[in-house]
Amino acid sequence: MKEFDSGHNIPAGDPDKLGIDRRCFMKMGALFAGGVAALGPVIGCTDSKQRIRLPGRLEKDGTVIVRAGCPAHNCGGRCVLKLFLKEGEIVRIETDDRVGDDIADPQLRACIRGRAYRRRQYHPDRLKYPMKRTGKRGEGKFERITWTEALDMMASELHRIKKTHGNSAILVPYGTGSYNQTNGRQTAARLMNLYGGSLGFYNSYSWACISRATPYVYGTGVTGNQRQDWVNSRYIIMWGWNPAEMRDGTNSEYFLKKARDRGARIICIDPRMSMSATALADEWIPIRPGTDAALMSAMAYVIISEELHDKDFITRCCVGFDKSQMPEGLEGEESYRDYIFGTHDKVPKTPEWAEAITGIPKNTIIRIAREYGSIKPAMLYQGYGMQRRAYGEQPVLGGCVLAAITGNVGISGGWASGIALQADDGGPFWNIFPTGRNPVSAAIPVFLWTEAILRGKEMGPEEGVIGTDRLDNNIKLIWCVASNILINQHADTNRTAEILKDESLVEFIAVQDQFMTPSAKYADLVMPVCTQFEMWGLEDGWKYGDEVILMPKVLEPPDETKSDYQIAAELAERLGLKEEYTLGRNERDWIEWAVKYYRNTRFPDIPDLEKLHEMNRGVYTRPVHEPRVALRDFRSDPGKYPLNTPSGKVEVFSKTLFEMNKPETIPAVPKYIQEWESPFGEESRKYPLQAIGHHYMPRVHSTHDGIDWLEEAFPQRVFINPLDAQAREIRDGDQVMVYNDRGKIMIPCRITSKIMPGVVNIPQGAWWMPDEEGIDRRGNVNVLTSHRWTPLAFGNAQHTMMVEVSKP
Amino acid sequence: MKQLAFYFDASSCSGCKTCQVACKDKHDSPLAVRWRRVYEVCGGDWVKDGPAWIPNIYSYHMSLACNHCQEPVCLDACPNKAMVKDEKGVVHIDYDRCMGCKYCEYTCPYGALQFDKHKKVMTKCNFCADYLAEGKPPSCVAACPMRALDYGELEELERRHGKQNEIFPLPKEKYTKPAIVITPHRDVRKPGTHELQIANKEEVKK
Amino acid sequence: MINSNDWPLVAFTMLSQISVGILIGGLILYMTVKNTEAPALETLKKILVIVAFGSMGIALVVSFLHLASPLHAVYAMSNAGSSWLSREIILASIYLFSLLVCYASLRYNVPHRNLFSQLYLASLIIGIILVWAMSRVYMIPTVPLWNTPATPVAFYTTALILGGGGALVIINLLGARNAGIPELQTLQTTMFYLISAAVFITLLNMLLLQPDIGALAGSFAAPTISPWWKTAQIVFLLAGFSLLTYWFTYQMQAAGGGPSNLVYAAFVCLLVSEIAGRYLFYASFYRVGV
Ligand SMILES: Nc1nc2c(c(=O)[nH]1)N[C@H]1C(S)=C(S)[C@@H](COP(=O)(O)OP(=O)(O)OC[C@H]3O[C@@H](n4cnc5c(=O)[nH]c(N)nc54)[C@H](O)[C@@H]3O)O[C@H]1N2
Ligand SMILES: Nc1nc2c(c(=O)[nH]1)N[C@H]1C(S)=C(S)[C@@H](COP(=O)(O)OP(=O)(O)OC[C@H]3O[C@@H](n4cnc5c(=O)[nH]c(N)nc54)[C@H](O)[C@@H]3O)O[C@H]1N2
Ligand code: SF4
Ligand code: SF4
Ligand code: SF4
Ligand code: SF4
Ligand code: SF4
Ligand SMILES: [Mo]
Repeated sequence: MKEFDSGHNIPAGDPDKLGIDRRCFMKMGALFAGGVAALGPVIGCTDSKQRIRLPGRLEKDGTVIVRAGCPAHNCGGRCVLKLFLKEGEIVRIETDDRVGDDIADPQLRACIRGRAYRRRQYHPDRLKYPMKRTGKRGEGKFERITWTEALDMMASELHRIKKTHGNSAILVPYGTGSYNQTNGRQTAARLMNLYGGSLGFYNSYSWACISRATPYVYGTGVTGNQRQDWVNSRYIIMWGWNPAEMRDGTNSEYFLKKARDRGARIICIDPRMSMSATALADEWIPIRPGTDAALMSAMAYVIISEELHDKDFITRCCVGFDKSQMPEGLEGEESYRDYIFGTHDKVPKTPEWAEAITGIPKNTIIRIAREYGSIKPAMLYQGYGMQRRAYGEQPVLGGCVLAAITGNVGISGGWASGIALQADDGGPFWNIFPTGRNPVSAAIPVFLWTEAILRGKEMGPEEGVIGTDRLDNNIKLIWCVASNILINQHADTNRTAEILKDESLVEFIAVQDQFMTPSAKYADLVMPVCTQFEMWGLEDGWKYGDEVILMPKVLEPPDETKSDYQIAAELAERLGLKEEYTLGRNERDWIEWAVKYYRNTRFPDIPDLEKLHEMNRGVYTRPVHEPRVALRDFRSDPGKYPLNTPSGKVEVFSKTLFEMNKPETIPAVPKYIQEWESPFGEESRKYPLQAIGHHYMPRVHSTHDGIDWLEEAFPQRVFINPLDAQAREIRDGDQVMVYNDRGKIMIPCRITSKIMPGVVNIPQGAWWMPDEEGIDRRGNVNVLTSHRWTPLAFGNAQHTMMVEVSKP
Repeated sequence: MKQLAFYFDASSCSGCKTCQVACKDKHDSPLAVRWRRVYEVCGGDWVKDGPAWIPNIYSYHMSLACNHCQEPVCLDACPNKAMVKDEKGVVHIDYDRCMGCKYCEYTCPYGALQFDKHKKVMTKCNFCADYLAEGKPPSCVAACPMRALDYGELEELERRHGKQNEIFPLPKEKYTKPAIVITPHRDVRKPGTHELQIANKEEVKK
Repeated sequence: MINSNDWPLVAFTMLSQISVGILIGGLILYMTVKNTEAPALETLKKILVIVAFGSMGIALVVSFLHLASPLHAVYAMSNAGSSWLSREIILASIYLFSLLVCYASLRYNVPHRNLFSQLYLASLIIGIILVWAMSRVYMIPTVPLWNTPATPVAFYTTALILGGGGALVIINLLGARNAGIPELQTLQTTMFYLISAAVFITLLNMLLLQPDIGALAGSFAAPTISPWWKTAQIVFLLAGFSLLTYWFTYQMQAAGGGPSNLVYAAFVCLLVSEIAGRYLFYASFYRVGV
């Protein structure tokens, strides 16, 4: 689901294709020899293997301790939970307790969400039965049906849509609820691919711009060193990066702490004094949202003026830095240096210039530029919030270029910026469950699915469509698995809801989830899924993949819940695809397959599933003693190890971007571009406050919303600066209305000095709960966000919006 | 006498509250009962300087359980002798003696006493006594993703980390002689009158 | 806002202080009049003791009800060595018991009728110590707003204002029904001066001794208490006192002690003022630390 289409390929490790594992091979052979008739008994016998069999010893009081992965939501981490099971119930949850917690192989300590998981697991609102819609779509009225009815309905709708419109009218949307192999949207994707395909998409909601833009500079997304190398850094800029809250791989916050202990100076540039700014940084530098590229430019101005740039690296390894380095035929065009010093536009990007835009005092800008330019090695790590914005490509490119001109590329303790997937193999594989090839070649940028509902047939390359000139369908059927994107997580909720309500547009919507989410309310068919404790699974790291984590089945699925895999498998049977889909495997068999996959790729010594389960450590790791450094070879010999860019070098000026011929929105060198909703624009008269919606500690997006222990610790509210509150006569804790032309939400406020004046923050992911007047009472920030996309990556810009706050 | 104590590294606590929930889960504490709580300290103000904003803002977190004080005022206050200090220095509440008068709650300057309306008694951190007996670390200590919590003999912790137990918002040690050792955050100001305050009242009080 | 848990304590402290105050009022009454054997005064004695006993009894029941685990109250006297609360509970129980004996000696000659005065005095002394212990309960070192001499002063003035007021109401009730009380006006005058003195001390206490909550800003933002409570406390105090003064200067000399309704209204005002004051007391709970 995460997009690594730029330079990162999952290594081919499919045990089926490699035929390495004999047992597996023979079983396959038997399967195909016996044909369909043989399937029944095979499945029967494998199913019995799925009976819960717990490792570990029975304690006196009847508890058994099992170590397992924390359910693999899209949470920013991957941790080990120590489950205390008693009489078929989880009675306590602790975390990784492997001895010797060192940085080569640190404990994977769970966060608050993992520790509170019991409250989600045993939540009274969990879905129990399949249901079909009775009222109007979106009204939330449902009646219980049987699984037979549900799956028949699903199969016949798929059949009907495929027949009347074709496979490209089917969408299995973005959904990040599960990165476990046997639960999650990939199970549906596999089936659809066998069924003739569905509309493809690329990109992610997470990092459309950063994953798209980084390769224009480096030719790859693998620009990050292994994290153990962070302790070698002397200066670290956490640029819009908040690992203490969003983790960015379990232990990222801990590695940073270690780096600071070792003497690194750390600063944090963020409109909010984030948890990371508080706990990890020596200094917090608040910045007006959406102006990072201006700060970067001014830093470059100082660095270059004061000759702090790494001339040797620039000469050897970069192109487009100044006139002397411009690509052939473009010598007269604006180089990076030209832009910074205003040679063409007559605006030198001085600290004064940036002060007015960013709100950061010019002396601070000069100081941090000098620090970053002179302290070596230094790390500029970019968070993803600032690229989830209008022109989000620019700060990404700007960061990459700053890292390059200071020569922090390809060295230990340095950091090349960009998406920074981990050297040398790009980090985790996320889902390895084989979804197969999608026979529908057309794909849209993930964020544009509402467009493809409204006017898919008009969409072409100018809106990012690939694989075809024009889409041949509008989206007519949505099968939404492990996702709350339909309503909650996509931008402009009220607009999306209107689109989905119209049954003549999307004709059928099925949602598979554990709760009646806002998206599920818009379904025609709701199918209840078991949690990831209730089925075999396996996961690897989030962004950094130094481990595989086992998720044994420890509980029986309650009521009529089923795993996503099982639902897909039963549907496959109705579509006549059962053998192809399951290959005779149940969930546990697939996990066995997955373990082999890891053996064939990253962890040659990993024991087999049975052994792993017996070991009961929860995780298999490979300690990192000598962290790998990205782009090291390239740095040492750019001629011998060229980058995958047109010039083979670091492209400070990108000819490819230049040739797109959209200099206003897609410049060839990174530039500050005023956002389409900005405090400097007309719109700010009506809506003077910038709003952002950061990723909140108590939730994984919308997952975990409404879990009492988490809500108690971190209630939903809007954060507002005392000066802005005062001007509106708002007191701490007041219910306030936050609104713009797109919608209104009413929630309590928290007045805090830890956010810049002029900026408010409504943590993203709260469930949309409109009242009769359509005012959201829970505080889903997407009521206020815009569905406009970024120019180059066609990415979501959900952090860019202007609002007003008032007492109701 | 032996005296167990907590160590807390305020300089690297992120306020993630994993410790708080780890404790809740370990002891099945209901809502509003937080044997370990995380206070958000904040102070300072914004100064406008031309087009720029200068942030004179200070903030850090304080994760606090019971300090198993050497002179526990709670213990003296309780009319029922429901509080006991054991041989490790750990202060326990005997649920069979507590009448739920909540008087002790007035006295503890660390907010450690947490009334459980379901159990109908006062409750608080018991240093995970069962885990200690098994030689295991307390649940909260083993939970902290930042490794900002530790425990041990008070003297030993003081030797390792220095004697710091009056970091804002904590009161002067004279009231109870708390068994806690803290590494202060850079933003800490001298105790006394200052502009720092606890900012997350709604998260730590009922 | 005060904790809902504190309302029973408002009731408990005020009722027990009324009880003690009534005994104090009674003592002063007996000291001002000679003819204590008069039947009406006999009735007065009985009523005073009954009211004192009743309010203390209700106070204890209320305090008992506020316990979450009342069955465990059996241990409540076990920590007299160090807990003022334990001492308070012991004293309150003894006080209630002594009032019972006191009444019994008057009514049933148990243990002996002639012991009444000694028993009364004993109860009174226990009561005064009880109010002291009660204020010590709140003089917690970690609660600066409570840990001041203002607390015992306030507790005693409450006793005097409401006890004196209560006694005055009882005298007037008796006077209205039975004009035969000798030296009615002397009794009324004595009580008026007692109340006046207490009101005066209350005002001084508010002005001089009680610390200001705002001055104590600490870890938590100071609790916000609606200014109406303070206003109510002062306004009703002054209103009650003015009514009483008006009654005392212009009406009391009339036959039958003048219109008693004025006295009752004044008492109600004083009661409201005291409740507001006590509410403020609990609402100003403010601990050092967190
Ligand atoms: N607790 C938690 N952790 C998570 C998730 C979650 O939902 N909850 N989600 C996970 C997922 S899927 C993802 S993609 C990642 C997302 O991780 P990020 O995208 O990095 O997270 P955000 O909170 O959106 O943004 C990070 C920071 O950027 C700041 N910011 C916003 N706008 C700007 C700007 O214009 N300039 C600068 N300099 N800073 C800005 C925000 O204040 C915030 O502190 O997190 C992952 N981790
Ligand atoms: N305004 C704003 N919006 C944003 C963002 C932002 O920063 N700002 N961030 C964006 C980002 S980065 C992302 S990644 C997206 C995430 O958006 P989504 O992918 O929709 O993620 P969730 O909201 O976590 O929804 C996942 C759903 O899966 C369900 N689920 C959990 N486990 C399972 C399972 O095993 N099986 C099934 N079938 N269901 C399961 C959960 O109950 C939940 O309803 O949100 C995006 N939306
Ligand atoms: S970071 Fe993710 S995997 Fe780790 S405990 Fe938190 S929610 Fe679970
Ligand atoms: S778990 Fe650690 S970092 Fe998180 S709040 Fe507790 S002490 Fe602080
Ligand atoms: S912290 Fe409070 S409850 Fe704990 S021992 Fe000290 S005074 Fe008692
Ligand atoms: S609540 Fe219990 S422990 Fe606290 S003082 Fe009362 S009886 Fe003692
Ligand atoms: S030691 Fe145990 S009881 Fe005390 S706060 Fe930590 S987890 Fe809770
Ligand atoms: Mo994401």
